[in-house]
This record gives sequence, C-alpha cells and structure tokens, in this order.
Amino acid sequence: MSAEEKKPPVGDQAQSNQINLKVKSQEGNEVFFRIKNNTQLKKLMTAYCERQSLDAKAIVFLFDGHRIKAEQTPEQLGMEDGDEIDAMLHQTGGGFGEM
Amino acid sequence: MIYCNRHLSSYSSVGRLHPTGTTHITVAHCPPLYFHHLRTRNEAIANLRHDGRSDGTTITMEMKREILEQWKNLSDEERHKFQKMAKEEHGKRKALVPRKPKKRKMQNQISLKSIVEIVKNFSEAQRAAVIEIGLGGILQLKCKFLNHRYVSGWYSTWIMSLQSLKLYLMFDMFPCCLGWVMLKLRAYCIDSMKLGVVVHFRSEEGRKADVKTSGNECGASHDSNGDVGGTNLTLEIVVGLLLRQNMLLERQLGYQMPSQVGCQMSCQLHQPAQQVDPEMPSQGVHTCETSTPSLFESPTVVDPIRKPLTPLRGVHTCETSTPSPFETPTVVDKPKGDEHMPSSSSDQCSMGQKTRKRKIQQVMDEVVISPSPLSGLKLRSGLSRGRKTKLPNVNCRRSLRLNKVEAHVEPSRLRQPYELKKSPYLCSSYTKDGRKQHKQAKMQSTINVDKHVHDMDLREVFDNFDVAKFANGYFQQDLNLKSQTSIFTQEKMHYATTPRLIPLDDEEKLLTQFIFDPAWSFNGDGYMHLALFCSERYFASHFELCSLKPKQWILDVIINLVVVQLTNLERSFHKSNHHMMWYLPVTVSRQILGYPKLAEDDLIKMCHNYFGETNFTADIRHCSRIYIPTNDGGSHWFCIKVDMKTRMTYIFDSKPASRSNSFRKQLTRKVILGLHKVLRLQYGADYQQDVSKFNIANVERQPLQDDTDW
Repeated sequence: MSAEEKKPPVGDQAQSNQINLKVKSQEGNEVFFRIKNNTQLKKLMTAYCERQSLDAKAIVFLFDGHRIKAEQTPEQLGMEDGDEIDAMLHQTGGGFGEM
Repeated sequence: MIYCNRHLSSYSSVGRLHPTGTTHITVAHCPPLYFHHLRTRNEAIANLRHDGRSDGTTITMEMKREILEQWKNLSDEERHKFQKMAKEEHGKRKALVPRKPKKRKMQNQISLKSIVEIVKNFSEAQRAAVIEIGLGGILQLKCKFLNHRYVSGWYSTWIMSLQSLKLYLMFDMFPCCLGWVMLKLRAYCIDSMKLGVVVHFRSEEGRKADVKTSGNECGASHDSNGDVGGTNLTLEIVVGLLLRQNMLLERQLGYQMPSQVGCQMSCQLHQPAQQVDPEMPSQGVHTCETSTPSLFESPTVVDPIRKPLTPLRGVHTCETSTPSPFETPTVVDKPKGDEHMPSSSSDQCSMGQKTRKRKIQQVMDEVVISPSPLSGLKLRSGLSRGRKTKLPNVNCRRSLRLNKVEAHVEPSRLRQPYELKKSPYLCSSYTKDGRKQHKQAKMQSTINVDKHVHDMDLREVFDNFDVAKFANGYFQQDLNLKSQTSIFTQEKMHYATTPRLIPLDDEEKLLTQFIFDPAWSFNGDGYMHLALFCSERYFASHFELCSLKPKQWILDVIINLVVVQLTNLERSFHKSNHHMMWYLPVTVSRQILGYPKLAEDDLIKMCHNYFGETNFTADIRHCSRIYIPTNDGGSHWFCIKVDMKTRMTYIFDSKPASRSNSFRKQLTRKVILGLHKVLRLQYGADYQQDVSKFNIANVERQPLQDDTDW
C-alpha cells in the first residue's frame, strides 16, 4: 500500500512511466495514487480498500462511467495523469419478494 | 615461522623431502622416516612444534642440502619404496578425516512442465506419499503449458477442440482456466457460425454432483448465412446458445437446426421443445420436469442429421398437475377467440393430437406471447399483456433477449389485433392523476395501432417489460432464480396474492446452474469476473451475480446490467440511435442524490459518462420515456419513469407504504430536478420540456411484492 501512495517525484524517466490518479469516494474524499502505466489496477483497488478499511467486494470503481476490471491497466483504459476514478459502494435493496 | 614456511615450500618443490630435520642427527640417521611425510608437511611442522624442538632451531640451508644429498644418494628402488610408504600413510590419514559434503544448489521454483514430467515418473509409493501430505492435486496435472496470452484475456481466432471442452467441464479442477475457456467458447461460436461448419463435441459426464446437469453433449450444425455480429456477441448469448443446442439435441437427436443466427433463432430453438409435446400423454397443464442426469446418457452425437429420431429417456417426465386457472398451459391454444379458449386440462385433452400439432406448427411460425387462460379476465379488467410479435431481422443478442422476454415468461397464444386496441399499456397510465392523459393517449394509440401495428407491438413489449422489470423484478424471473413467480399472473390478480411456481425447464436449469456454480467462486475476493454479462460498460462478478439468489437483496450492478441490455434492445429497434425509451443506470440517480448541489463539473461529468449517443441516450426530440432506477436508503429499489409525452413522472414501487411514499416522492423530485439540469446542459435548445415541473404520481395498479424483507 505504501509503495503505491503518494511519493515525491523521482525523476523524469520514472515520471514518464507513472501517472497520478485520484480516487474519489461518494462522500467526496479524495485519495491520490501514483501508479505505473502497466501495473494492474488491482493493486490500486486493494490499496484503496485497505486504506479505507473496506471490503473489496463491496466497492465498484468507475472511470468515465465505465466499471474498471481489476486486471486492466491504466494504459489499456487510456488513463492520463490526474484522471479521476470514482469509488462507489454497492447499493442494494429489496426486489420483488418470493415465497 | 615465515622463514620456516618458506623453506618448507622450497623443500617440497625441490625434492619433496620432509623439512622437519631440525637436528642434523635426526635427519642424518633416519632419513626414510621423513620421506613418507612428504605429503603432509604441515603436519610435520605441527609435530615439530609440539615436540618443542623448534625452539631456537631453524631449518637452515645446510639441513636442506643434507637431506637433498641423502635423497640423491638413494637408489631408485629405495626412493620408490619411500614414495610408496608415503602414499600409504597419506591414504590412512585421509581416511580418518571425514569428507566434506558437496555443495548442492537448492531450487524453489519449478516450471509446470518439469512438475508434470517429474510426477509422471513417480512410483506408486511416491504417489501415495504425495496424496498423504495433501498435494494429491499435483498428480492430476496434465497441462504442460499455459498460454498467458489467453489467460490475460486476449484471444485470437481459434476453433474449439475436443480437449478444450473437456477442460471447460473440468473447470472445477482448473478454475483458473475458466475465463480462458469461456473466451475460447465464444471465439468458437463466432467461428462456427461464420464458417458454417458442423462441430460436434462431447465430453465426459458431470464430474461432480452439482455439475452433473451441466451440458455435456453438444452437437451443432450451422448453415448460417446470417450476419453475425461476432464482436457483439456476449458470452451470455454463447452460453445460452450452447445450452440450447444441448437441450435440443438431447431431446431430439438428429434434428438439424437451420440456424439463421438472427431473429429466427429463437423461434426455431423453441420449435422442437414444442414438437415433442404431442408425443406426450395428453394433458392440459403439464410441466416439463426433467431428470437431467439421464440426459447425458445418450451416446455421442456423431452426425445429428443422419441419426434417427429417438425419443430420449428422461427428457420429459410429465406431471399431471391440478388444473388451475392461474396455471400456464404449455400447449398452444386456439389462436382465435378468447371465449373458446380451453380453460382446463380436459378441454385441451379433447383436442386431437394432429390438430394440436398442426396448431403448434402454425403458431410456431411466429413468436407469440400471451397469458392465455385468463385472457377473459384480463380483458374485462382492462389488463392485457403481451402481444403477437413477429421478430424483425435483428441480431442474435436481441432475439435471444427478446425471446427470453416473451417466450419464457409468457405461454403461447396468439393475440388478436382487436385485443391490442384495448390494451392500456399503450400509454402506461395507471394513476388517478394520469387518467385524463391516459384517455387522450389511448385515443392516439388506437390510431397508431391501425397505422403502425408493428411499432406499437414493440412499444407494448417494452412497456410490459419495464413494468415487469423494475417494479416487479423481472430479471429475477429472467434468470428464473429468485421468484419463480409468474409476474403476469400476479398482474392479472392485480395485487400480490399467492405466488405461483413456474418450474424451470431443462435449459433454464442448466443456465442457472452454469451461472451459480460454486466452483466459480474460487477466487473469493471478487476479482475474478465472469464474462457472462460482459458488456462494454458493465459486468458482474460471481459474487455480485449471487445477489440474484433467493432471499437476497439485489445489487446495483445487476440492475445496471439490465439497463445495458434494455438499452441495446431498444436501440436495435430504431435507426441511427433515435431510440425513444431511455434507460439510465443506477449511477445517474445516485450521483444526482449524492451531489445535491450538482456543481457544473458534476453535471459535465454525468453528461460525458451517461448521456449522448455513445452512451445511454439519444436525440431528446425523439425521447418519449426515461427510466431511472433509484435506491431508497440502501434498502429498496424503485423506478422513476419520466413520460415526456404525458408530462408526468411515475414511480414504480413494488412496496409502497404511506410512510415511505412521501419520502420517495421527495427523492423523485430531486432526481428529476437533477435530470432537468443535466438534460439542459446536454441538449441545450433541443430540450424544451421542463422535466422538473412534471407531476409525480405513484402507479396504482402495479404488481406488489409480498410483505417480506426481500
């Protein structure tokens, strides 16, 4: 978790490969992450969940309205530096009752 | 000491003589004793020190020379003798010192191939030992190579092989390969449809108890020339398709499915199921109970075309159930006239087999929906459900979905145009507030029916569908998991009374089992997603899909999936994305309610993410209704319907209560206010009606859920 958190910029070469992402919760809290372009976003998700003490199953990450798969990388999603990811807890509710 | 060592080395280099001759006497008198120490000079020096003879004595050059001379004076035989003695002595000493063990390289990583090779050569005892320590699974390994390209989700054109299907059925053992296999299946289906190949594959029987009923034999022949939107095929369709094929061939070997992978698919797929019925002992209301394991006792389908028609054991177990007016007859009734509709089993029994068969054939030419036995009641009460719909030439996905909407839920009966005119669903007004608009809309709709019957059909289907889905939890029925309740029967009864069980047919059982197989939940953390409902935007993990199980609350992810499906369905009926009914995902209402101020940034973001032709909406001028599923306090789902034509907002709520109604109205007010802002931003001048000023009303005659917490 700490490896992915905000770090001081290391150098131009390292920066070109890494991007800063902002994870925004439904309450408006923002957590910043620095992640490599080709790292799976699973790492970010896990880190966020651990930090927020959330169950990974109970949360959905959206980027531009698209749900993010854990296996996807920022590169695949075309993420750029400073992009925002929405973290939303699952909503649940009663449906049509059965017998 | 240094000095001494230097001399020692010189001794050994010159004549390999022992350097311990500290006194001339010793060296002079007994030279042979030293010669055999020539290889252990260090030890000799140690002895020298130990004896204390090194005190003050040094090995001088004279001593060295003396010894050298002695050695030179010896004859060859003596030299050889001393050398031999020294060798023996050295051997003895060496034997006393324990050998140092050789250094070994430890290895803690091993390739899959090496494991398989090693395990292959294990003896029985070794195998038993491996099983004993609990790693018996290793013995089962056969795969030597993992194609990481496929595992990571990328695949190329590929044709299904026998082995892969086996793997697919063995996924309880190799769950990690599942995603890969699913992709293979999909690719295979696309290929086989495009190429028109005939593929038969078979695998072993269910490997474990709960996989017993999964499809094991499948034969498919495609003569497709339909335009298969290969890339648009979702896995859901593929799976459904495979299972359907399974069932067909199980039921009727040798039936060649003239698969037009388009609109006709659904009709034809259901044809054999209906054709089997006349072969059954005649009974009015019969349910298709299947003992699934026996399905797979049939032999491999080598060539389904040449195989004779053989009735399969165990496909149908006819249960004679008590004729009930609310039961759904499987057998198709007379297509005309509600008055003549047989309402009991005896009536249907009286129909001749041939007649019935003929009628089935006749009706099967069209995809027909209707709630038959209660149609009289339905007409009197002004509730008419369903409609004859001949599916247009649509893609596979749509036809499948549409088929699910119609054929699974509704029994087959042809409805007549005069019935359609009486349908109040054409304008969807159920409220007191909306009565006037309803009348007006009804007038319009009647005219429209005359002019555009087909279009109205579709609209009614959608209208029915939305009522069923959002207020009634349609998609639970779609998966036949949760309710197993006839929505439409309940609607005929107007309010929730005793729910009725609709037994799952074989195909549905398989599909259900396929989705909810516990073997899929291997990962546990929810990151291993099934591609079953894979769409561009939304997907659901196994964990999330399990929220469809009985007595569980539904997750927003599932509702979003339905929204995506409905949007696709709606779009497929309209050209150039001018679809009239918009379905918005849960996220829209959630974000509107979550950000009460709705800053400009939030609005722009919502417009970008959910509105526009590339997303869920289209041209506002063509929009007639907007559906927004909404959550109330994290415990209840209801749906907001914004009717642009009647300028009303309706709330579909399956569990209204006087306490909660006002709160839900408030929520609705907020949502439509937010919607108004978003629409204004998105469409500007095109957006002329102010949605936020629409009246809000509860839908009165809507299906209600039981007094349960689910």
